[in-house]
Amino acid sequence: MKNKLVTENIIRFVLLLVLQVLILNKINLFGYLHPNAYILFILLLPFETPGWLLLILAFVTGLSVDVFEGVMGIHTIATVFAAFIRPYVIRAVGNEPEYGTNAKPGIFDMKLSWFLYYAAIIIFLHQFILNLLDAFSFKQFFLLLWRTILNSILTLIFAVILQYIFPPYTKKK
Amino acid sequence: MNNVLKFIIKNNFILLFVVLEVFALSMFFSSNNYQNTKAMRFHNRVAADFYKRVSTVESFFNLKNENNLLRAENAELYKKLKSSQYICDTAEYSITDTLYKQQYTYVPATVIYNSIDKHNNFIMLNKGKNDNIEKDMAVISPLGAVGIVVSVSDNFCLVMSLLNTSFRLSCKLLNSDEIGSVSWDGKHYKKGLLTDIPFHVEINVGDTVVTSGYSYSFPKGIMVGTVRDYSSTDNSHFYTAKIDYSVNYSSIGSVYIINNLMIKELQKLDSIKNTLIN
Repeated sequence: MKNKLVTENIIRFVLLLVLQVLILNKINLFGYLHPNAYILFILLLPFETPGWLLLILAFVTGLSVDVFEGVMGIHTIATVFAAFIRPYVIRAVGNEPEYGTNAKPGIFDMKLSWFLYYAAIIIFLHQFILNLLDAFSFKQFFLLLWRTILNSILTLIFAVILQYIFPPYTKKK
Repeated sequence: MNNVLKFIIKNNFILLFVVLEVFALSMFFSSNNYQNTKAMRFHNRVAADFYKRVSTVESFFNLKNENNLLRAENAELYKKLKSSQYICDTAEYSITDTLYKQQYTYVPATVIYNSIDKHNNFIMLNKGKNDNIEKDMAVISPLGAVGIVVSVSDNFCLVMSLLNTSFRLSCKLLNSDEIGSVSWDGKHYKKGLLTDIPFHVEINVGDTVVTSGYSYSFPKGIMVGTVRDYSSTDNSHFYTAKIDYSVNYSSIGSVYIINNLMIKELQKLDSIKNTLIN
């Protein structure tokens, strides 16, 4: 069971990275919109993942994306932060007793509405840091905010659709 | 000591977070400086090689378009050949031969990585030190100015494109020869800004903007864009014009890197100028 879980996450990591680098990084809606769906890997790690592992996996994920983007550090900073707030967001969104063993915070183990709340918060903060570091100033704050909101919505849509296209094979039931 | 260990174990999540973020931040700040070759070299080794493979596949989808562009450019160049001109006076040609000296040479290159959605966009090309590419060389496409080389490795070079908020290019209006400066505001990849045009100059919508030749890298008269609309802020004596770039930055494939053979000479004079000012 444990082995299956590890394999599943490694496959997801590789697939999401390939998808991000080869396809999603080439998408440019209206010149500046592109989804960062690789964050789904951090979102879908099992509930009982220890904190240190969460942070280190986030660091590796961010670094891998950064290597292909040219500017080192931006995705690493944002992804590690996303992993850091994840436990707090899960606690804040609530319904603790419903988690079964080996449950994942995805749309199959949890309710869709639960996932949307949970993912929206993390994706928004992740996107905000990405856009802030990219612009590196508050000069055009509303442009920054507007980009963050549109990019977050796009990423959230991808995060839901990708789960439907590739359903996990370690379901709770 | 025991207490310190207890503290570390108790707060390991937050402490590890801080350590990783500090590490990532230091990486970010050191690679933000593009002359930093350490980060660049790492990026080159892993990503450049990868993108080279990807771009060989991708270039197939663009072949038709690229072909048309190159054919149009060839036609333009054929027009300038001696064989396609009528010789009025042989003496004139012997004069022009000694009057003109080669100042710029062109190296064809292929784009292997390009972005347009960031505040500071960069392009990577498949030519480097081994092809005598150096820092500060200009890059153009058949449609107009593209950017300037900021960092070179053995086989690749990194180009700061016009779509970069810290890029300034000295330009002029083609019909009035008035000098201005083209920059980008970070918003849309098809629209740039032409600033510092004095009030007395007559600007028309649709005017052509070309490079002025005042920078050491770009030759004179390379197309940059056309004026879309212009305005003036209240307390300045200059116009700011919005321009449409002539190059479609979202689909550049083949470019030329321009080598200015007299750049050393110009830079030497420039340093003398600076000592005179001080």
